[in-house]
Amino acid sequence: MRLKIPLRGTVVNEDPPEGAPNDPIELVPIDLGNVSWELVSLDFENDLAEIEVTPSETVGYIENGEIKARPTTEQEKEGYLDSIIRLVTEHTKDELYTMSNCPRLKRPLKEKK
Amino acid sequence: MPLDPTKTSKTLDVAKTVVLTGDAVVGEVLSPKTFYKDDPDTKLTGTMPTVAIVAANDDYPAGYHAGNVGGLDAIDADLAPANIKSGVTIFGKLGTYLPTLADDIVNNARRAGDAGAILGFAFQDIFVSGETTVDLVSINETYAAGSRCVAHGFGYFNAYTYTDSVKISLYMNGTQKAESAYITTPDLIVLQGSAVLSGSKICKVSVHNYRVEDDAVRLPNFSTTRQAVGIAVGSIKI
Repeated sequence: MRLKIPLRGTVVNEDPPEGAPNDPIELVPIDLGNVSWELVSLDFENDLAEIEVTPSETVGYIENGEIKARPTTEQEKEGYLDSIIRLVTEHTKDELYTMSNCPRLKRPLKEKK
Repeated sequence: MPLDPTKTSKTLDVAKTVVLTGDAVVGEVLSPKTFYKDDPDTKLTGTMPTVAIVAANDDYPAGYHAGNVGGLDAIDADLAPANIKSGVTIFGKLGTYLPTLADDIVNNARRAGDAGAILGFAFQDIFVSGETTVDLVSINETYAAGSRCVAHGFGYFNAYTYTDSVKISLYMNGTQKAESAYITTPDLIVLQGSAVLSGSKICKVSVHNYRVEDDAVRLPNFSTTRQAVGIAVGSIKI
C-alpha cells in the first residue's frame, strides 16, 4: 500500500536527492506502527515522501517478563494499514507536522532563488 | 504602336496606367536588395538579415537561411545516430547509442565490536534514548559521477525492553530510504534502497526509538571486532 507522509530535514541537493549529514531528509517521526516501508519517491514541492508500506509478519509481546513474538494475523495486518490510512486521511499535513513536533522540510537552495 | 525598348518603364506611355501594388515590407526583403512597393518614386532597401544555424549553439535566428543541402548533420557532425540514445529520434535521426555500464563500488562494512565486550556474552545492547536516533554502522565511498548505487542494511536484532519502540532505518546520502517494523524477538532485518550517487557519500544504518522512554536494541556479540549489523553497497557507472 502506498501513502504520502510529510518530510523533514534539510535538502542539500534536489536532483539527485541529498540531505544534510546532520539533518537528513526523512519522514516526520510519527510512529506508523508495526509496519515496514520503502521509499518510492520524493516530492520536495509538497514536502512529501511516497512510501510503500508493508505490515509486519510478526508481532511482539511480553510474557512473564520475557519478550516473545508470534505471527501477525491477517486481521492485525489490516488493522495496521487501516491505522496509517486514518492517520494520513484524518489529519492535514500541518497537523502531522504539529503532532510530530518537528520543523518542515528546509530547502535553502530553493529559497535563495 | 510598338514599344520603344530604350525607354524605362516609367517613361513608357503605358506606364501611366500601371499601379504598383506590392505588399512586401523592408523586413521581408533580403538586405541589401532594393524594390519598389507602391510608389514608383521610392526605392526601398530590404533589411532581412542573412543568418545561419551554427554548431556552437542551439540558436534559431530569424532571417534568411540559405540552407544546407547536407542537412543539419552537415552543420554539426555530432548529430549522428551513434550519439543519440537508442530509441530516441532527433530531427529524423534514430539513435542507436547504448551506454556501456561498468562496475563502480562494491564494498561492505560491519559495526565494530566493543573492545570491552565480554566474549561469549550473548548480546551487546545499544542504548537509544527516548525519541532519538543512533547510528549503528556506516560506509563512506567515493562514487563515479552519476553512479547508480544499491545499498542493503542488515542485522540480527533483538528487542530490549519494549516490543513497540525501536525500528531500524537505512539512509543513503542523507536520505531515509527504508525503515523496518518494530524489533521484537531475534530476527534478521534487511533493508534496501537505491540512489544516484557522485563523489564521497555516506550510507548508514540507524536505530530510532519511537517511545518517550529510553530503550535499547540488542545485537549478537560475535567478538570484540564485529557485531551482527552491517551495510553493503554496490554501484555501476556509465
